[in-house]
Amino acid sequence: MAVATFPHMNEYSPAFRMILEELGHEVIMPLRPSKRTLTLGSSFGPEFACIPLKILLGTYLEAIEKGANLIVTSGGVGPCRAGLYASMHKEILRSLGHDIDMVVFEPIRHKPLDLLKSVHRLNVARLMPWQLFDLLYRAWQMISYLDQLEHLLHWTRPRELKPGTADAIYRAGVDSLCKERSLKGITSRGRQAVAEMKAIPIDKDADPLKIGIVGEIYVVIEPAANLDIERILGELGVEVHRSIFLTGWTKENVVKEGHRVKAGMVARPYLGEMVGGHGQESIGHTILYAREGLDGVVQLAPFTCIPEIVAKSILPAVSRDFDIPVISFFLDEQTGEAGFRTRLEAFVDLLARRRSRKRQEKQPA
Amino acid sequence: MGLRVGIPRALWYYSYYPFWRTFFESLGAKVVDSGPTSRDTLNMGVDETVSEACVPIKVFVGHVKSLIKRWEKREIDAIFMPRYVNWSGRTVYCPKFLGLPDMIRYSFSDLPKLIEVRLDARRRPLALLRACNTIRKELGAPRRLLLGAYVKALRTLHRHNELLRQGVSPLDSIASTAGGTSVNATSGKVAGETREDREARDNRETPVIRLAVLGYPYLIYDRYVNLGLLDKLKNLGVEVITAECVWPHLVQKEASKFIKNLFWTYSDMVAKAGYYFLDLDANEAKPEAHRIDGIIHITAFGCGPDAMVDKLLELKARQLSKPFLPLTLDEHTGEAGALTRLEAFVDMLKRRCMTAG
Repeated sequence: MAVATFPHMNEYSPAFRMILEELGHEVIMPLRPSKRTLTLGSSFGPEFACIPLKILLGTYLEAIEKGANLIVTSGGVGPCRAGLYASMHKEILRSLGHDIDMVVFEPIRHKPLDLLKSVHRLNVARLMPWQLFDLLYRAWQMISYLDQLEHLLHWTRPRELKPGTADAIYRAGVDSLCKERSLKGITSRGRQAVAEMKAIPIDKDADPLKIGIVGEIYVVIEPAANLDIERILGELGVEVHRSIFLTGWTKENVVKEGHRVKAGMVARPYLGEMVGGHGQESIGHTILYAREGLDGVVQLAPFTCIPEIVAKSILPAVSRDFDIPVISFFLDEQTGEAGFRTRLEAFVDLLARRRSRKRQEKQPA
Repeated sequence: MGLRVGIPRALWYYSYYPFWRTFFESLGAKVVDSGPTSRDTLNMGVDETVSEACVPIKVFVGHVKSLIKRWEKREIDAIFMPRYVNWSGRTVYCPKFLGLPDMIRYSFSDLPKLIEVRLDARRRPLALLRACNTIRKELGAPRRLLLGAYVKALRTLHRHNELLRQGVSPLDSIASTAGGTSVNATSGKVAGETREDREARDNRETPVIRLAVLGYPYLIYDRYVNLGLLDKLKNLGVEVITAECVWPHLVQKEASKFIKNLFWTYSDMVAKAGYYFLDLDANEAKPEAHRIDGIIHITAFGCGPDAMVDKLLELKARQLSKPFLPLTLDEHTGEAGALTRLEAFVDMLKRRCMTAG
């Protein structure tokens, strides 16, 4: 029997587990990436590969230790390297003596038949199409609630009266939500958790700094890859706006992939080409955030990430034209937390001073 | 007098310069290339580029900067800055190529006219001809010249590739295709030279080591960036063969060995050529000149696509127990260190050859 595993991504694992278990697989839950994961990944992965590749490789190796023999992951058509992860991982794992099976989901638009084949291969329990639809719908609901909770968490953190309340309630909400399997359970738990988050006592007059986070999807979404930047910023009293959530991203890329998303469109004058990954979106979101009146933008990218390097060399022009400070972080296995935190704190200080100066200028003496 | 167009000697220059030079000249423009990379070019590039970019991009920006300086001295009127997306219809170029014109536009405040054109052979038939027509309009040349210039340029490119397959370096080939008509004579001379070389080698007593040097043309043919690596190998008595020496269709036959093709043109070529050189037995028809003793893979520090290519080649080489040396270059690479590694590698190969024979 196939023992399946999949990449770790933020809090989404329970939703993926639900899908795979109901399709008839035993599931090994991927561990939250740790120092060991990264060490495993960087010792067997290519030196200059980006950090998501290394984290995934480490995650797979840890799952294989526990007996996984089937990896379910996503593909892509480039020009970002992520589209080659699966084949790269397979080659590396084979060279290490692990002959595992891999099911790779490629974008629907390019190979519709392959997608059906992959689904068929995974569907060991032989669920009927409507059952599959129901299953995916439930998983989608769960992920939507997870995203909604995280959104609220970002908003509440800098406003809560007692530090730590929001995190505790979020944790409890996520845990209880992820135990549910039925649509009814998911929606009622989800609603309840959202209500609890909204009930947290907050400082109503608080006017926190607002910082947008743009960049490559994995390091933006996975706290283990970005040293938990949202928490660091939240604790510094900053309201975080994250450009990518899994539900939003899936809507844009899987369902209507041909559709030009808004961020890509506003980025056009600066970067007229889809450079792969999230290069164009990083620029687009920076512009959108500037228009929304955010105080600053943090760009997160894995070291050697090509699309983000292109974005980074254009961002200074965007920053100048739209008058919004941007700081870029290129993350890899060597990134230390202390240095990262210091730079963030300095950036936040700078934004705070900038804001108070601007407000003074606005008020006529 | 026609427009004087500056072309940076970096990135796609080594593969496509003959095409563009012929095309521009046929339309009455004058082409000025930015000359060989020097310390100044590289320093200028490092100053103007984000630190995460790879050294070839820094070199490119340096060349553009040197062209801008010539523009300020009124030596040129415009810089040719195509957006290479897809030339072959199959693979795209590295994302940095795709974003190049934008990166340049936002790196410099004062720029001459950029002749910008998007080269993407995927979407429409004759996309390249259409792109050339855009350039013609920019140059203000009459329409009747277009087709002739295009065909002539394609033929020059074809001749360029043919010369590369004979083992001529791109710079020599560019020099010899310059005259247009004198190509046959020069190519004969080049072939003669290689024959003499070969005789000289045959007379030597030590076994001849043949190495495949794989890497992107803008790394292995830029003498300044790679510290004259090809010359050094020749001095060590090594016969060098590159990916350009093999017919593309032979290389493409290797595609079946990949789980998934690489997305990027140059990387695809390098990885497949590597597999081609490594896998001796699978290819009976392989000429004697393509049988190699080892592979040197030249890559730039922080090169995204190469992280993939290098690992694939390394795994394949290990599987077939072929010697494999990855050599990473950046703007700080020291000559002594690189040379020592090359010497050690070649010595090892020679010893291996002696014990085997």
